[in-house]
Amino acid sequence: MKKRTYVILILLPIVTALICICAGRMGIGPADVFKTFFGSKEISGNVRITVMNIRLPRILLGLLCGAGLSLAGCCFQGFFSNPLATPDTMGVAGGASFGAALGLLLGFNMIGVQLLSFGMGIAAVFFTKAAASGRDHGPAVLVISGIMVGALFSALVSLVKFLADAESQLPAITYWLMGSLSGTGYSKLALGAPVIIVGIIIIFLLRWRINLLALSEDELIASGTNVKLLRSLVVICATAMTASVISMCGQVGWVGLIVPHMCRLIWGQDNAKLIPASVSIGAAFMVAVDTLARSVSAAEIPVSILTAIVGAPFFISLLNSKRRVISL
Amino acid sequence: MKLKAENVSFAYPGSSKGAEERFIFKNVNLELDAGKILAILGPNGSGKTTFLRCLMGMLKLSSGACMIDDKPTSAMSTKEFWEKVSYVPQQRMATSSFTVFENVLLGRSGQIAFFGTPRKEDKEAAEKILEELGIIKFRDRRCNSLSGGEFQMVLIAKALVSDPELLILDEPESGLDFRNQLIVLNTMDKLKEKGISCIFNTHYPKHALQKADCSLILGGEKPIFGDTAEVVNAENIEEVFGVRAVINEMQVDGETIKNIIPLYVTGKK
Repeated sequence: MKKRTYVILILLPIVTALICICAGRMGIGPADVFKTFFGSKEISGNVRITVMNIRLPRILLGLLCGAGLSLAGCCFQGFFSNPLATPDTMGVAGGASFGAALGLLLGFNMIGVQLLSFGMGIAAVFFTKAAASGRDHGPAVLVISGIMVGALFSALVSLVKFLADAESQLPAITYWLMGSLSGTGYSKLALGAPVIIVGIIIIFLLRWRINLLALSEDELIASGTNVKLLRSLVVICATAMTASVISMCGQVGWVGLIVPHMCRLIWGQDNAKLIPASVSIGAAFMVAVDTLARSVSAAEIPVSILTAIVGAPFFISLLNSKRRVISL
Repeated sequence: MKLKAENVSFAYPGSSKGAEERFIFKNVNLELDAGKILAILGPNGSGKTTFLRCLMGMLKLSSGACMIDDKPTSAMSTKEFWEKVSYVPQQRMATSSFTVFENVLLGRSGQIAFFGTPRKEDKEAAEKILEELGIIKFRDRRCNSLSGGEFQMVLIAKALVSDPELLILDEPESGLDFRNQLIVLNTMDKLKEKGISCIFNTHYPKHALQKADCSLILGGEKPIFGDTAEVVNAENIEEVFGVRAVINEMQVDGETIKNIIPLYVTGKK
């Protein structure tokens, strides 16, 4: 990838974030935002709190979640050699949702909910892996057992909802499941961000080698690569990133499917280019959509509703585009 | 490089206990010197591909040993083995949506650090091999837009880009037209001149006669190995394939060219 492209990819999320930090129900000029960052005394307390304690953590979360989800999608699409794979293919979203719902039912505090959600997301992938380990039939069996585990956990989520108190707990669970970046604090970020950052670094280093996963099993062996290590690293990183995102902001769909395909349209199939591009564009996309979600109306729209409204038509147009990037 | 197989046998494990193991092949012995071509012949299901997979360590031998330069392959690390050997799998539909250049570059993965990306010399090696095989014009085409013959050459380029000493090809000329078959077979001749050995599976005894120094015939009572001129003869073909055939020779430009023509199915076998 050319140096110029890298510069653009690094600047894109930063510029988007700066624009988005100014936008919202309370308009704040870019000059005031900068002054707040540098601790100027001229800024009123209201503006300072809005920028530093409300918008900044939320935008950081948006950047990380967008980058994490689209990168996880990109990884799973490479891992399964299947353009329709998403971060949820191995059941991680189902598990993480169940963990969060259970945490809310049991009256855990937000940190507890986040931890339980993350743990159950990882556990779901272990179940999927264990369910598929009896036969050595490669990725296809993993996909099927992922669907099974996902279905099992969505049934458990329904069970939790059934048991929940209809007045207080049920709305909280339902709202959580819709996905939202609101109410982000630094403590939430401190818990979830390191997982996503480490995942991004490892996958970035593997960006070229992930291309090998598109080869047939025999070719993969003949490449002389440590296949087991490669596959494990990719699955562990992608799963951990997804579980971390979901534990922080609920189920945000579509980002992991749309963004990598958008990048394929521009950069082709080579993961060495696709991976940095997915990180950058995913981060910018998520922050932009979330800003829309919190700005268009007084009552905030759950972000997954917007990603789907933007995502579905976009994906349909991709399927029908002249440059067939998605070969089914 | 010298390849040797001693009393190599293979049976799929897991057949019911006490039952006699069903061997796919038994007691294969062969030797291949540097810069020689070996053809493996045999009817469908005689274990040609299985033999190659055993040779490459993808399947575990039931008994016997393969050796490269007198070192058992089972004692070699994956990295060490695949530095010397490259594999061109049976070509099916070209489904890869990588470009030709990206695909060939994947062949360099043994030379590139696990957490690394291709360096300048890797890219140069890929360009060079595309040039040598005459497919540089496809450099930026997507593999799934190529014809079968063109994609086969890309697979060969991908295998050769790592500078192997032994190239193993699984039915490289199957499903190709007249011209592309010749291009693939002639590529092996060029490799031979460079001292690279080739092993190829084939359904065409004619191609063994024309290109291979030695041949291994599987699927008969016992595996047959020897100089192609000696072992690919009418008797062995009839024994293994159950086909009566004649082998004729003709002189073209001072060279003797052999051909084999099947006559009828004998029912022996």
